[in-house]
Amino acid sequence: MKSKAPLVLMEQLIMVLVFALAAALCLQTFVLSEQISKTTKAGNRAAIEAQNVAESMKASGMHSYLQTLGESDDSGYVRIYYDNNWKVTEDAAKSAYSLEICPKNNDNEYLWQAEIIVKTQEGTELIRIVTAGQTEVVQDE
Amino acid sequence: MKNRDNKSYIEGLLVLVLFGIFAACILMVLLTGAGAYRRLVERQQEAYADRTVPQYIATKVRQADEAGAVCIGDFCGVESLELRETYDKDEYITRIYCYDGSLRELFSDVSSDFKPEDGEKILEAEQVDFILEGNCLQISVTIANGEKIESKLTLRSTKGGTKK
Repeated sequence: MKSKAPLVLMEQLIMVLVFALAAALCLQTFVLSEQISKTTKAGNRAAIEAQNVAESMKASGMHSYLQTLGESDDSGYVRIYYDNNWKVTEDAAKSAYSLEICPKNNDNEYLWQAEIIVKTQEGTELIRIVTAGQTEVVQDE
Repeated sequence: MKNRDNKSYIEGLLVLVLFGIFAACILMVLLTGAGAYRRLVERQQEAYADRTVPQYIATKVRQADEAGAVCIGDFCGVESLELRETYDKDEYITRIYCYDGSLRELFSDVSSDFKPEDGEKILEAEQVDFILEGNCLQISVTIANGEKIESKLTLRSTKGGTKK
């Protein structure tokens, strides 16, 4: 009597091949979902940080707030760096995210305008918002 | 005859091994999928808590943002954000505070005698701290997993409030 084992083996081989194909697609989807989920969470947090900066600028005025942050770069932008846990860090090289405050030129001298951009270390933009407020008025004694 | 038996035995074993590999692969893919889904749900819940608690407080403050209406007070030993409103010459107060693992809200007459446990549970939160400096309100929320979210709000009305 001839053994049926080669036939079963063939059947199983085909089954494994089909499964491998389906599993590869599944794993690809899992990895993609992880990436999307991470980006979404970072985006949410970036929105909160950008909003906080915008509110601080409104509270103390753009120029006063930018002075508290320190030096701007050649293009006039001020940057705040965050680590992986969204804690502010001085070390730009070890940071995971950066927030850029880009003051905009405005025709109206009584208003200030600025763009706030949050990016990942790789340069992927997470959020970009525009904020505006009234220029601080220095009252004469 | 013995050779044929051996061959048949090896073929059978191969089928069994292949089936074992197949079963292990299925289990691995299932576990990976379950792990990915679990992480997805966890991250979604964290993102929900991250945004909802500060946004809820921000919305309440924006609604009540009138001169002197927003202040930080002490509600039976619990730090609370107090939002004052006047209806028909009667003063009412909305207290937002964290008590017993929940962000709570209590709307009452100023003279009413309520306790922190009487407040309506809104969302889960471990701790909520408020700091009012000038017209800048800082809200610090510690959510269930221990993560701390800080949010800032500028009160549009002048003289937003004072610490009692």
